[in-house]
Amino acid sequence: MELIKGYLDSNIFLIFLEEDISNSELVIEAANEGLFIPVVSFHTFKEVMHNLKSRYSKDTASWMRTLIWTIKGLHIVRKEEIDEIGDKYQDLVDDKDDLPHVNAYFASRCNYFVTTNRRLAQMKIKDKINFISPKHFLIELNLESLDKKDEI
Amino acid sequence: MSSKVAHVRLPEAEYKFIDEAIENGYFLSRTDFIKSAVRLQIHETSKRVLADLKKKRRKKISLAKLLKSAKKSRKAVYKEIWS
Repeated sequence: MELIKGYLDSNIFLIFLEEDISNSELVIEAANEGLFIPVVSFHTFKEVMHNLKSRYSKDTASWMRTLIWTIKGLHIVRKEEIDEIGDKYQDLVDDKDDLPHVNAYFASRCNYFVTTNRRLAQMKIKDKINFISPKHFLIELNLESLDKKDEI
Repeated sequence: MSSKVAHVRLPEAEYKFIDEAIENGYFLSRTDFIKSAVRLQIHETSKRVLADLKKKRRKKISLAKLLKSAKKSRKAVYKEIWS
């Protein structure tokens, strides 16, 4: 049986660190157990590093980077792959800074875009992308989930 | 990414276990097994370090503030790479 491919938005990793326990953390664990193919882009690394350096420290950001790149079977979408899609979906997103992630999702032929960002899931692009919360992604994988506010 | 060679002496029983795991199709080769084990240990260590940080942290920020700061990072990274 072919494994589901899930694009993990930067906020999955930020919530993992922020919450004592969360569905985002369970999603990362599921990836590490090989229950789906986890996908991120080079943007994800940069955003998480940028965010944690500003709110925590360079050390914390580095540990998080290490945690991400050692997730089992992780696929990292490169800049060239994002470039190839170009502006094809630009009109369907409200903020152009979301476009690299949208392109990375399509470039890696993902089945789901796992995010806690409801704003993103309300854009026109929602007709082409399967946005899903961490909680519902766990349900999709037939795994137990937590009852957390905003399904994080 | 450059790589370096590590010579590791393993007990006979562990070596045998690795070969059996390969024979049973869990790993492609001894290299595959050892690389996978090292990756797992690095992952678990970083998880422990971050878990310690969670325990020591005094106050958490709200989800709304977290998403706002994530958006700020997204804008900054986009500007750095694409502008």
